[in-house]
Amino acid sequence: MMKIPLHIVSGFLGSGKTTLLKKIIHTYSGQYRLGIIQNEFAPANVDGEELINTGKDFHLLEINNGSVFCACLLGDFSRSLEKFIDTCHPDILIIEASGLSDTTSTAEVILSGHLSDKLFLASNWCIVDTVNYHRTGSLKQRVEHQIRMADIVMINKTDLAEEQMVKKTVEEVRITNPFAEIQLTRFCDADIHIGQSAINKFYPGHNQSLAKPEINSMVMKSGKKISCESLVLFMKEWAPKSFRIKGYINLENAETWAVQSVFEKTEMAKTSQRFHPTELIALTDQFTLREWNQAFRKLS
Amino acid sequence: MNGLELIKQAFALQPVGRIPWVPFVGVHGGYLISTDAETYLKSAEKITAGISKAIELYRPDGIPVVFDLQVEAEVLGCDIRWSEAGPPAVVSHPLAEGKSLKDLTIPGPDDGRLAVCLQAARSLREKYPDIALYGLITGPFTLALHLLGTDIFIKMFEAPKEIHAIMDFCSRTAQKIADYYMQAGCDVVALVDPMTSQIDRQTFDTFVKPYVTPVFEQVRQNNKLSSFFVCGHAQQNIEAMCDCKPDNISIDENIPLDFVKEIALEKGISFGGNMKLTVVLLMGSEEDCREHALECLDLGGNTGFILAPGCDLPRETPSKNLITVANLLNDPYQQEIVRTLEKKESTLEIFNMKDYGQADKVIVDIVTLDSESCAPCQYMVEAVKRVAPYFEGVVEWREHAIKKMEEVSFMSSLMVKNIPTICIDGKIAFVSKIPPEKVLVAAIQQRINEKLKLKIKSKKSEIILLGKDDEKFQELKERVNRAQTELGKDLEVKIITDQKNLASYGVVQLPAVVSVHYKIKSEGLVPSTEVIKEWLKEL
Repeated sequence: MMKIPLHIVSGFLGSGKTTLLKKIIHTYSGQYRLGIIQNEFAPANVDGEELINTGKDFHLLEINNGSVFCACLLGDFSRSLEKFIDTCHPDILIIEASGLSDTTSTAEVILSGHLSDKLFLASNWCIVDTVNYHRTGSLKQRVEHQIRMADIVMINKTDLAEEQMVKKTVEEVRITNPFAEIQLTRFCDADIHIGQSAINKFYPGHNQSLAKPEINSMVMKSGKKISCESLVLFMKEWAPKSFRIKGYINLENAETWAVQSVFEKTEMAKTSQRFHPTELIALTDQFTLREWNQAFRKLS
Repeated sequence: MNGLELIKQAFALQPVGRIPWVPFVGVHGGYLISTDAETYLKSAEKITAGISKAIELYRPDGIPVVFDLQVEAEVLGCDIRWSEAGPPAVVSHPLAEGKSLKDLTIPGPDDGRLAVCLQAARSLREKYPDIALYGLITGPFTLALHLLGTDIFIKMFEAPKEIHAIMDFCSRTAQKIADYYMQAGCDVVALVDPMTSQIDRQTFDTFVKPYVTPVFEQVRQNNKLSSFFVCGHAQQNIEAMCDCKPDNISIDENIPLDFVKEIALEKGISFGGNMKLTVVLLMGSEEDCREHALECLDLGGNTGFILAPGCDLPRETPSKNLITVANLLNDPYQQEIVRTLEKKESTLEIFNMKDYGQADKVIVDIVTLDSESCAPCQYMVEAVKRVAPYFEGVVEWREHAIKKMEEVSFMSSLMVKNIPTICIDGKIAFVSKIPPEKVLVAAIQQRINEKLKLKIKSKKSEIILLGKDDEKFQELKERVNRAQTELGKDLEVKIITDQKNLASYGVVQLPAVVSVHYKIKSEGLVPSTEVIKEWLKEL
């Protein structure tokens, strides 16, 4: 069976996730069978209704169990998702992650077990509300965590913010995630690619479909700190075996490095992250999470 | 030492002989007695039955009575939505929908499902005096979020006074509920505040610390123990959590255990966690669970550490996975085995064992950790040693201690997963359990018989008749059959009439008889049945 590309849309409450989804539905619902998963931390699924009101054809799975922020609720979530895929057979899946959810843990669970045979992670968007970004204050922690694992960060509502404010937001996002593509948007008017088109964009020159059965995306988390040499060796060994690796690695000397590789091209940059474990995501057709985990555990 | 004493010892940071274990059984208890989450969480009898089942299966040192962070919120007027497989979700927030704090009163012990939880606590206390019972209370910040909804995040800046007032109410509620649980006989009050993972250190210090600290203080005054549970990315708040002075903190897989260990021990606080709920306990294999549990045990160490899942166990967590964890915990040998295999697995060479055990002798392999240091391994080796003399010269036995690399390869090549294991001629015969002498003898004897049978079968003779499809050849075939019948022999008779094949036997004249050793017995004539019988006797 071909694997279904999965896209994650995250962003703080009110940042514009539903607007982006509406845009995607509007543009692509004729072309693909879209499966949308909504998990907003809202009393009633107002946003779900808003999507249905677009009048377009797509399949919707609403997760009402509060916010999927808690690891103990994710098992339940992955079961409903599996059922959803088996009933609706979507070509493309898009998850709207609640503003409070931990997209890395969500991806980790979705990409393991039975579900890993059915889908792979194609891209991860994070929408930042320029106006309120600096006001999220206490919640920066979560927002930053979502930004840090994103492929594309949309700095949204730029029409409502001073130019200076937008500039500052871009700088801060850049510090958190040195490799993400940053797009400045109003009403999420971004250049949106989903499915194969997103893959062509991330892997220029790779014209084949990535949705093949051998493709695997995986999330590795570890509390282990490694040496700088080990980091280089690790990337040297695994980058050539992957379409893509990205994430953050904590070093023994208390530094955190952001890494990203597309095929063999590897980039690394020191970041000022604190308080997060090492987190890596890989897209590959050559190894399993178990092998990858073992190799990481053996590093010094 | 019983579970309660062990937990107390760990809380007191005294080194323990065995690390205590507290499986967080919530609605999983309902799963164990085939009851849906809603029915389970509404019935003290069901909860008591579910937890009793968990105690029987998982042999815990401590266990929560109920794991449901919606109990207080429901009593305070939040609407909840039930689900079959998980605890309910709060779906309305009274303080955001027109009510004010003045409209709310602190729940009493008989209100709503609190009565159910406390009744279950009393029953379990009576039934299990030796196990540490955990009474779980909703942390003030999580309760405040239930009451106010996500507005709380904005209001912390825009209306801090209002939030302080709500937090104060939630703190007083938590103290009351803690009281009820202690009176019902709980040994540990666990304040569960997962939403604190969403906020930074400064906000935690301002809005959480002043409201949880008194709860722990109160528990201390009652000479009971307290624990502070959090889940999610709360790494930034671990130190602040310790500063609230609980006796223990418990975390989930999102925070590295060694990180917490370092901070907690420095602050003189015990810690617990953080087995992966979904990826390992729910979806993983027993092997995954063993490896992962051991990783936690090794990281946590034997001082001040309590092994626990990161949070409420998913309802359908396979029991075998949790039993595996309990077994590992109680069996230092098994820990050593997992440790040894883990180290060696990645550089394994797998042998081709397709033809293993085809030799004349029967081979008995015992895969062990090392029979000198592992008692079960020793007994297994001795069992084989004892029966070997019965089969002198026919059976050969060998021990494969996996401390050596090549023996790990051997083990994996035979697909052996558990230690100790006995294989007979390359086939797994006895796993972990030492077979009684009779059973072992019978198993070996069976293999000997099988081999004998094979041998007899493979020796079945063959006679080849060559000829053209004519009368003479017909006559020959009949005589051969007759000879067979008269001798009572069962032979493989091969008929060859194809010209090309005839040549390869070197036969010049037809019909001909060729024996199994490709010796031409006759050609150009049809021998008598008597003669054929003589030939057949030789075969």
